[in-house]
Amino acid sequence: MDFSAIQGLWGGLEVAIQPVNLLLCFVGVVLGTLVGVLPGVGPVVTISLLLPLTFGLDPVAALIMLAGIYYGAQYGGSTTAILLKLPGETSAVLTCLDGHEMAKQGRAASALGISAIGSFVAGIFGTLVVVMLAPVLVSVALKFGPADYFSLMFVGLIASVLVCQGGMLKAVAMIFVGLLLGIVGTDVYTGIARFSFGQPELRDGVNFVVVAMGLFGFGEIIANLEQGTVDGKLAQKVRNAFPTRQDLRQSWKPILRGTGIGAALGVLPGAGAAVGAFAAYAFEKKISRTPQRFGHGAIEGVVAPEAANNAAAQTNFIPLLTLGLPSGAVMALMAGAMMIHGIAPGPDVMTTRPELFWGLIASMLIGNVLLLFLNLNLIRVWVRVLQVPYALLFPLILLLCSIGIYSLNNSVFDVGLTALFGVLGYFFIKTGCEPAPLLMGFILGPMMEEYLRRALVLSHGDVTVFVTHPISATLLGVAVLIITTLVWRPAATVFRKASGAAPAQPTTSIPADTGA
Amino acid sequence: MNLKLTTLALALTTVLAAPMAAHAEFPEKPITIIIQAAPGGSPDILARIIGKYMSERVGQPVIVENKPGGAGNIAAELVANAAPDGYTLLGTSDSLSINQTLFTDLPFHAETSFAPVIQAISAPQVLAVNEDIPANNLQEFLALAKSKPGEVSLASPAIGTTGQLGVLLLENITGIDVTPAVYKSAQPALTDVLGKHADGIIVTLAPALPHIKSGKLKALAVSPSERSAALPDVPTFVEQGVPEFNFTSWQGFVAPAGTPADVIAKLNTEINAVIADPAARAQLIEQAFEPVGGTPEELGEVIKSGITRWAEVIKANNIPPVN
Repeated sequence: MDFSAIQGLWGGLEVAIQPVNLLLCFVGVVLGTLVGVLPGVGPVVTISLLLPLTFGLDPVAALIMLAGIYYGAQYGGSTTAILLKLPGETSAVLTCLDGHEMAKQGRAASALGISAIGSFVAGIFGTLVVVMLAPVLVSVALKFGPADYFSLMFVGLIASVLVCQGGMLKAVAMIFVGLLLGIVGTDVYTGIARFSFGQPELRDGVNFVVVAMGLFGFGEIIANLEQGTVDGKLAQKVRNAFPTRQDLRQSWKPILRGTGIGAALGVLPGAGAAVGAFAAYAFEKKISRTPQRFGHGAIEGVVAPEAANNAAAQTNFIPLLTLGLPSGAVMALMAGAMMIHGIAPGPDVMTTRPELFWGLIASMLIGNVLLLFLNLNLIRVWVRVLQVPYALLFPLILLLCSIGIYSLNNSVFDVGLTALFGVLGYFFIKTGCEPAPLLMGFILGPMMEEYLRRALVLSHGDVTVFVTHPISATLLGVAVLIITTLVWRPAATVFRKASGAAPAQPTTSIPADTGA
Repeated sequence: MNLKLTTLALALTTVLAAPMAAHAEFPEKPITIIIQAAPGGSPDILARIIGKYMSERVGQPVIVENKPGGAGNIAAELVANAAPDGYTLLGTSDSLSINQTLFTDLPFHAETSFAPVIQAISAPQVLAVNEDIPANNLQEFLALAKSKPGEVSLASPAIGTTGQLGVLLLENITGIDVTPAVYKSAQPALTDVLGKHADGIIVTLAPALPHIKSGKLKALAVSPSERSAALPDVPTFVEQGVPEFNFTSWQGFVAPAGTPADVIAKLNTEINAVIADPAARAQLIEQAFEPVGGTPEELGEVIKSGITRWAEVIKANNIPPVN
């Protein structure tokens, strides 16, 4: 199988280096980088706009370009997350946390550089995983049933407590706010709209970009304006243009770990884009000797989720290309693009259209190389954006965000809703509540509910499915382990206090949280 | 010389344009088709194929605008309130009939708010099970389901779709008791059937076809009453003794109510011509659509009979109305 894969890849390279395909690959990754950078305009909107235009193209060329937009946007998405704390994509939320802190410390260029490198490593590795292991991985992915997905989401939710720096109580509270927000929308099983207040726009729930843009981006802008002179706060400190040797030494292991986690979770058609990035971030923080640096510009906290995004962006193609099952909106569009050209995405694409399958994969290798050069060279341009006076910059950001948000559903309602979330975001900044756990609850909650109910429907109401299915049982074991470690230290502190010994690190809020 | 030519051209245009304006002025500007689905979905692909060929015929751009969400009601409301001039059409499907009963407070009515233009295509439905299920035809499946009431699970694409209501219809007709599992769309439902987490599925044929061909899914029966050209060996529900399970999923176009009859007639003629065009037809068949065509009245009848059929199923199963 390995040999045929290499042979196939070789044939694919021949397809991918044809001038037209090479050009469209370049167009795709440039467009992808741009829409990734533009806040709110994501690959979903871009690909939907361009899909009709690819009608007249050769299907291989069309798919090469559309795929380039998708993984190119993963590179570009980190740019606004780092520079402006604007996560355009679900997966970029984590990059905001430490990436923007690095920018505030004058290390914007390093952060951008190291994310480009991390993205590159992950992109190449992810593509090779697609080449070598696609058929094996997809059969593993199919073993994930609703019960297993539920347990995976549960681990994710528990792990999101790890992501925050403040008190555990606030983090848990924010997760619950996120879960509540996630309830808004149509119930999958009954079709009844929940908390839509008669608004047809709320029938499909609140869009992730609306919440993320409002809480992070808009909230941050309001807070910045309140402080008065923000000019040059970020710009003046830009020193080193590229990551230092120290940065690289600190990053290479997190890059590899993030790549592994992202690649593995990207294969699962039902897991969604954010889970890999969150898992990679939480894992790095958990195993770090200095977890307190996270959230204050830890480079590991930037590269691990970035690598996870990009690895997942490549392995996302596995369920689509081997089974015709798209995981998420972008892959559904890719499936649509194939269907427009009369190709039914499915198990036989690899054999009936090898030039398409291998051509697409080979183009990803080329595309990732192009993206590395493109992004390393663009850093100087992006960093200059920060030198624009804030009085000019912030209206521009708001305008671009509003256009992006409008373009999601061609809906003015969403723009207004984002403004509301902006006010809420400002309130959270003032009260020291972190929006990241909220977003995690918001993303995972609806999926968890859907899988929980489906697992119970399919097991005819038997709750033991969660522990009798081996994958689910293992994941729940991991969750229990995380809870134990979360509670252990504070509990030990309480015990030591009780026995009269002075606690090593008297953190006042944590013992109180243990009871909650 | 140049001036003379221009004058001549202008004069000619005026002379020629005057009688044309009186006759066939429609369409004199771009036509917009609003569809209830996101790009890449089957309604989107249909509208784009029809739009492309129609635009070539009428000499005006045909714009496809995606307004997904709200079970299609957002797009439908937009078109119901649009100017009744034929320049705004709704690309719609069974959901128009189904939602009429499923939703209580719709700001439009499937029959009175729209003027039917044409049914473009129909799409057959298939009952398929995963390869582990010991049933190779409909009767074996029904016997299996009867021997284990409530234990066989049937997945369906989403609430309010022909697949979901089809499961209930099958239960009502045959008296079997299965566990219906509803998903957000066809793809995750198929994933769970392929992964053997759910036993079977009732779904539009197109997305299931590659898995049926690869042998991972066993197709037990198709609807309507004629076999599908894509699966000539799979008998219909009617052939296998369930004559009441006889419907297709359809897609077509409607205009706002009050659109002048001659405009509707023009649109109907043009889209009929597109459907008859061999190149367009081939593209439709490639998508596992079955091209239909016909008169506006025929579509009106399809919408009306759909409302009746699905209202019965919805009421028989005590599906709570949505508002």
